[in-house]
Amino acid sequence: MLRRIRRFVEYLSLAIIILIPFVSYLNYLRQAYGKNGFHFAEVSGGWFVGKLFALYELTLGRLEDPVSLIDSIKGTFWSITLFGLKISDPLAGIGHILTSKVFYVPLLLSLLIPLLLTILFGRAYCGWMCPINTLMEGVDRIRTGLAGRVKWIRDVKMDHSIKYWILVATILLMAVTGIPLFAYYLPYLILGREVYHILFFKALSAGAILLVLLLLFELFISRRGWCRYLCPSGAFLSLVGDFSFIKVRHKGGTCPDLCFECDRVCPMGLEVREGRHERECTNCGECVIVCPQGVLGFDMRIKKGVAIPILIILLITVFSLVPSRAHHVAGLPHYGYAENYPQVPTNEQTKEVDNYVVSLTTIFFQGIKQELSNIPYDTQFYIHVYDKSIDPTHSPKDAVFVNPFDPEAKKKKEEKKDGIDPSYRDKLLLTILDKEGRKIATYSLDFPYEEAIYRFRHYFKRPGEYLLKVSFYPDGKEKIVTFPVSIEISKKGSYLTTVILLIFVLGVGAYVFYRKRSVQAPPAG
Amino acid sequence: MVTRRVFLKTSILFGSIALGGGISLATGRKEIPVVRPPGAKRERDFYKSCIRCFQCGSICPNTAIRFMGLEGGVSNLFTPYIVPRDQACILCMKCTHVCPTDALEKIPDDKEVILERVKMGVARVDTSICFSYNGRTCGVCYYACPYPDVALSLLVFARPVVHYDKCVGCGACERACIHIPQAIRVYPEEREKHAKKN
Repeated sequence: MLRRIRRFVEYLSLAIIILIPFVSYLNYLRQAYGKNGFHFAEVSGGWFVGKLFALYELTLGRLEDPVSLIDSIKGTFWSITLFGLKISDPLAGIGHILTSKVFYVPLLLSLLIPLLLTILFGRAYCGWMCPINTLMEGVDRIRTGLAGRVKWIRDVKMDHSIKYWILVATILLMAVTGIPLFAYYLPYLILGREVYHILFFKALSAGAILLVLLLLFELFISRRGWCRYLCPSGAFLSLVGDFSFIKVRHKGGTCPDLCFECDRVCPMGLEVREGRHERECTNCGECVIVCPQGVLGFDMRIKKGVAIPILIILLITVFSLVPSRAHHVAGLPHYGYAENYPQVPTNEQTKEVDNYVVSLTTIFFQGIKQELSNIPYDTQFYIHVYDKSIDPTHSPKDAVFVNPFDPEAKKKKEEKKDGIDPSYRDKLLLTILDKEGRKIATYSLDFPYEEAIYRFRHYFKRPGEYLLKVSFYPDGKEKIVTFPVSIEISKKGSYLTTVILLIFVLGVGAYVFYRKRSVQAPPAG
Repeated sequence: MVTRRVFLKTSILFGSIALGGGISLATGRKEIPVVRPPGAKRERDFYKSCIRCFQCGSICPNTAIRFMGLEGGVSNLFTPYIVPRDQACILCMKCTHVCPTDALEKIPDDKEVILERVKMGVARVDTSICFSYNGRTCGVCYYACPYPDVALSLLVFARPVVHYDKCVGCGACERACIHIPQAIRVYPEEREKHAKKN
């Protein structure tokens, strides 16, 4: 029963970590594409986004005001916002004081609930809520399954006091450098962050490597190594939880000789039989379940004078939740830019050589996907050359487009046809050079593509500064003009990092499997 | 349990790690000019106050807020920033209210208050490439600006002029600019003069 309750709480907190970013993403889609924006979501985001949007419409979209509801539940266990109440990790608060040297009262108040809960229940966060604990229990099960078959699984035992030294070292480092380092490596924070990164940016952040390394460390090198020996958060909670009221203790009665069930089963590797577990005990209750004599049990040593004020403070903080107000639009246009400005960016340049004018129009077009439209790797160049001395009133526009509803422009065009056309219509060469002057591509046309316009199309592989060299041959003489063109590609994450990590993990798995096979296979011949 | 020798050895080990790491991290800091979410502290204090809880990014309705990798040095890792050309800030001020620390100053969602207290940067027009300054009438930035005629107004031929003291630096004009590269840009350096000193 106890184990079932603990499992339920564990899985619930893991679900919270994963669900909050997921629901936030759905909420973003709703705000970006509007109430009935399924079609637009599918066209601009792809199949997956379309399906997510449909899911949103089926579930949360039926609520009265889903946006403000979901906006009031945000964050991970590092710092969480629940209907206006903010709860933060004690280490976050300590780090903030150390790095910014400011006592920010709202943040310090948000540490109250975790600290008071730790004083009541000890290091229970580690055993009951931490998502890394849940994951590592699964890894532990895999490990025991593998242990008989794979030779090189080891269990390195370290000193339990290492985690206190890591806590002290990180605190020193933070005070010296002013960088909140806990946020860089605490794995339960990284886990929530990665879920968020995959959904919003379609990529993993740098911390994911740490998480994978940690999994491998626990799987092959040390059993529950992080929680037992290294986690500074666990160290801090142990220090606070040393004063806690609820603990696993010997109730009385004698342990039989040679019974080490509690020591064997303890996930933190503590010496429960000897009673040397009290500081770092996570109150998970495994030893209480397994004890054959019923010697161990939860012991409450609550002094009423201390416990009752703490309970009252907890109750007041929990029930004084300020319901977060609905987001008020105070006059500003809260529109989605994707809908308002579908842009086809262009760039126009003109240069002169002797009496010739060369005009270049560059078009970066990516089709309907708006978020890709300023990724101009597919680029088209339109070049028009004319002789200034023949017709000074000529402009590049005359060669391209005539408004059919503008009688004057039409008349001008017809007049031009009778007179001499200043446009150049002979062979033209386009060379694309990079910044160092190396040749990337060459295109040539013997006559214009349309009217007097030369059209070229090039796919740029990477962003940067490029030079376009246009050479043309009026009267057999070569004339050269160069245009600078800058290609900017906005940074977007890709699924590539995710795929590489997956391949890495699968490769390790396959290697282990192969090793197992090769050990079992009978010798040939 | 822990003898004096072990204590001394371990404390020397971790102390030297802390000292060496601290010196290397402190010297390896670089400040690159980026647009921060509204209400942000000065650049030199911002990375100290942010606890990297990622709530501002997940509440942003426009996904304008993204998080820095190693390009800003170790000290700026995982801090929020905005690339106005990709997604501009729509000044909803949700991020300032969800922030658990003083990294983002709490600003109410009111048009006048935002105009007074938000200073993410200042937009500047590059008149050498702006279409309107080069014989074509455009004016897209004016229609994107949340404070038309206050922060940004148009001259003849829709030539944009930014009023530096009023511009909040949201970047809507930069996002909307149809020229490549953008002819109007947000320069975040201006924030330093207006932001709170720690």
